[in-house]
Amino acid sequence: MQLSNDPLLLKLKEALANVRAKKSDIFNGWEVSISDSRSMQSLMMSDPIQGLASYQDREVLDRAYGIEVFTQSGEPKVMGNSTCNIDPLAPLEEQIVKTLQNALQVSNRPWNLPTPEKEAPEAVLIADPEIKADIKAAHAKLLGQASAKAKRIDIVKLNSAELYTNIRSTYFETSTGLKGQQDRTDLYFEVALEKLPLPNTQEVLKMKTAISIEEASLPAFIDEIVTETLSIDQAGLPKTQSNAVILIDGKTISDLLKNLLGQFYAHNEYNKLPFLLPGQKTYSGEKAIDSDKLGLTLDPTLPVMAASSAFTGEGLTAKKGVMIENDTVMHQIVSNRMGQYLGKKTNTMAGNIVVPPGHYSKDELLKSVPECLEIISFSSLLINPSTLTWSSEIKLAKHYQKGELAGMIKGGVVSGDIKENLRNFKFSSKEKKINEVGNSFASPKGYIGPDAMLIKSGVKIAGE
Amino acid sequence: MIKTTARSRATFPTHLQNLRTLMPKLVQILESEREKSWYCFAWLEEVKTQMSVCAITESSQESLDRGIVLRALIDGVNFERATNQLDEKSLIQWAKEFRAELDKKFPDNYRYEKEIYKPLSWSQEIARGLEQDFVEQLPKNLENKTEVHFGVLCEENPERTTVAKLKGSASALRAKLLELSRTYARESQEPELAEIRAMIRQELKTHIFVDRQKNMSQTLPISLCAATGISKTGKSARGLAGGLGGLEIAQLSEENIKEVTQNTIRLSKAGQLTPGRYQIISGPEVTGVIAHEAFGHTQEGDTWMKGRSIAENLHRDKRKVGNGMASIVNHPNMFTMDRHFFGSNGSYFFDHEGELGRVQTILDKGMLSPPMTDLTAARALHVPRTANGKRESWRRPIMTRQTNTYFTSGDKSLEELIGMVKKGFLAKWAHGGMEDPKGGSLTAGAAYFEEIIDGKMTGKIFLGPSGGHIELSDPVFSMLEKIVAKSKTVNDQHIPEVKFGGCGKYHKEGVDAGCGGPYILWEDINCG
Repeated sequence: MQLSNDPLLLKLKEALANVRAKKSDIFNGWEVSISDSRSMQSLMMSDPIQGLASYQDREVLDRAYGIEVFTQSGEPKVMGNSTCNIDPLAPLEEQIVKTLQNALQVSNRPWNLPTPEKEAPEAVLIADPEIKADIKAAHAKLLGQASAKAKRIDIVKLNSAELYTNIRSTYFETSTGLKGQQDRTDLYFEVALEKLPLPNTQEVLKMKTAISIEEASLPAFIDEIVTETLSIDQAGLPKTQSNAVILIDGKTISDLLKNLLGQFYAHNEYNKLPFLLPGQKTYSGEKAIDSDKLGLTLDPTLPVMAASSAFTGEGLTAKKGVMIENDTVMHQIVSNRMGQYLGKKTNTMAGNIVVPPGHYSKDELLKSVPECLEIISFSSLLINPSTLTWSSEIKLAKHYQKGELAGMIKGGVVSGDIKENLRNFKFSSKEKKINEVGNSFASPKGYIGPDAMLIKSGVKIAGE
Repeated sequence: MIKTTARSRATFPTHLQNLRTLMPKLVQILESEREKSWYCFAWLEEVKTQMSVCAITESSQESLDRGIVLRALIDGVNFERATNQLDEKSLIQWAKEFRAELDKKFPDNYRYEKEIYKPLSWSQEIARGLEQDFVEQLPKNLENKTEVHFGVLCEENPERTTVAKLKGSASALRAKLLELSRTYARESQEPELAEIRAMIRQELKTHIFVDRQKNMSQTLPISLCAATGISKTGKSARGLAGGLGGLEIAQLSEENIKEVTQNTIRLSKAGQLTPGRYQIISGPEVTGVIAHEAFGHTQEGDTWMKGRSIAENLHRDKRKVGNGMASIVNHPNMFTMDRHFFGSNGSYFFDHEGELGRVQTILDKGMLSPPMTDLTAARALHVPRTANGKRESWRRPIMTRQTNTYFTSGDKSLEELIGMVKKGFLAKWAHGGMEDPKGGSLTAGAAYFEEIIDGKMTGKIFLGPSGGHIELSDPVFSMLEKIVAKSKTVNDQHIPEVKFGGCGKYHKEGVDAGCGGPYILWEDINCG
């Protein structure tokens, strides 16, 4: 679908040009965007005949238009910007003028809006052709896969499942000539299982987000969750420890590293928030001799990954960059605007987190320490992007002694400090791919890296 | 309650009248000649948001999001179509296509197994009992086609809010906070703060619900003022005020101002808590998170329906899950609280499936009631319907969600509670939380603790064992057995302070949800 020819978008651009001509003294520039989305949504419970039976079946059509306008006014000059979602049923010029007035309320240091680069950005594949071709059929296929698998499950109880299949096309254009369209697909599946016999007080709720049907591999995912559910046993509280050893999974590794990367952005420096500069170490204190060293690359070009994109948020070409090598920060992420504010060279590094794996299997890592808690799930892992501290109740964990399972753990609070954690850690050798589509709680995240991390420093546990 | 100046109710936005007039036609397209076996409604949502942020980098935003949902409940399954393409021609065509799809799926000879839902008429609703806020807004000679509007009482007309006005207030607030923090830093010989951000936002939500028995709307202005102090070491503390009402309610209290301007600085020198069990007094924010996570999520009807809550068996077995002071309320139509003349952002007149708000005690002195419900859960569980059917937006599905959840108040003052602590902490400022309806455990976060020794505040503050926030975590039942005493409220209806808040169901579907309660002294809680 070619969104650049959308009739309302064309009218909107015309209206922007008209208003700009009338208010040329203050109207510095604009960006216009359109998104066209379709979503198929099924909320389900287990059903002996169908496997999964839907109790809520939805289809959503969403076409949205937005503008951002930039103003320059006053002496000395200040720059303002304001965004507005356009109401298609209301007069366009009135909405633009109002947005312009809102932008005049903002007084930031002026910067030059980005202009087209010499080389046009290359398209990145971030949509599953099968979903793109027929989202209804794709959704039905996924439902069929999940239902067929659910029907055959009799060793655990399946309580509920949700499936969302989405496609979204977006197009943007700026007054300086930047433009581009991207089509994305994604799907979200969650399933809640519990062990038989009933009743019990533990359930396993797991989510799978993916870009494509193949990557989602729902039957295999459900098998994985069934195995995990069967492994649950009577659980007790952990011991209180001031220097605990824990093993975390790929998702948690990616969450910790995403927050660490938050301090690589130059806007943190400008806004007086904690930030990291090239040459600085990613750990605090004295590095353990036998610890792995952290390396991390951002790559926006990987096909079928959640954080892949041809463009940055400013509309420039997103580029790959080595962010961390041997525990050392290699680059700061500097946007066009922040580059001008801080007098630094702009780079447009962005994308999926790629981390080289370690040298040992997960079992070898567990055997390498006298005692370890493998955190299966956190109740709610909250990471502070400023202090890089984290904390959560333990929803479920396995307690290992010299690599042997000694019991299940539930409850208690585990907390840590990312920089201290990176002082002494080991990654597993097995690679994991994670795609998390953005929602109202978080931005998109793509991760290819180790599927486990043994952390030997900077972790505390409050338990018995 | 605080004395107020003249207030008037938020009116129905006239620009939505054409769509409102069209909605009964859409419902008719969907269910005509099928009323005996289908139940259909139309739901329109409009959210206008205006916001101004004053900080080192300023920003402003104005947005309008509007969409419609058509629902057909057929043989126990809810079929929904939602769109924001709202011109009359497209909508009628879209409704007809939806109807054709349903006709194909449910031909005339289809054998229905589930009982048909019959919506209540206005006279049935009145007979069931409605509170004064509803009754005084109902027109005379009510019929199913009568357009009924419910508006919230406001001093400042939300329709007159502009970004310029928000900017003026946010800018003045930031200047005041910066000045106060600099004075405090100078006097206490501590480093100044790196930054203070001030944000003022107003959302003006209008909902229209139309089914065969009702045509009603509500306008809900949600005003919020928030400020965050950030120290040079990255420590931060925030103050937040607001709820359901005009901009007059978006005013930071002295306590909030002190939190931003002084406590952010103090946090840089805070100690680190030794993990363990401590006597705790939870402030209204933390109390609210405990209520919300303890028997809030556990009492959500769809969670019961899926066999995912421990509460269903406990209710059936009449098992006591807390002591005589463990009482929690679900209060959708809460329009006053503690000393305030307004409700929280979780309040409304009716939910997103057209159920009118009525107060419900979900935990009464340790005994569980039937759950909060949406339409599907109420029918599946054969329990009364409550006004808890909510969706994140027109784009997302309906689920049973909390509105305002709070512990009931007690008979002590905060000073008396502090006097009862030998060695413990005051946990006033919340920092997230998470439910575990199946496992019956909960975790509630506190930004930091204030130390109490021998019945007196020592002035010392503590962060978590790793220097971040502190998690309070225990099995729900043992925790609710350990309520020692609760503070009182001045509210005529005994409603304590309920804080502005939001909620995700597990990890998604964000909705407005207020939670609160009195200061509560707990015998001990595991903290780390």
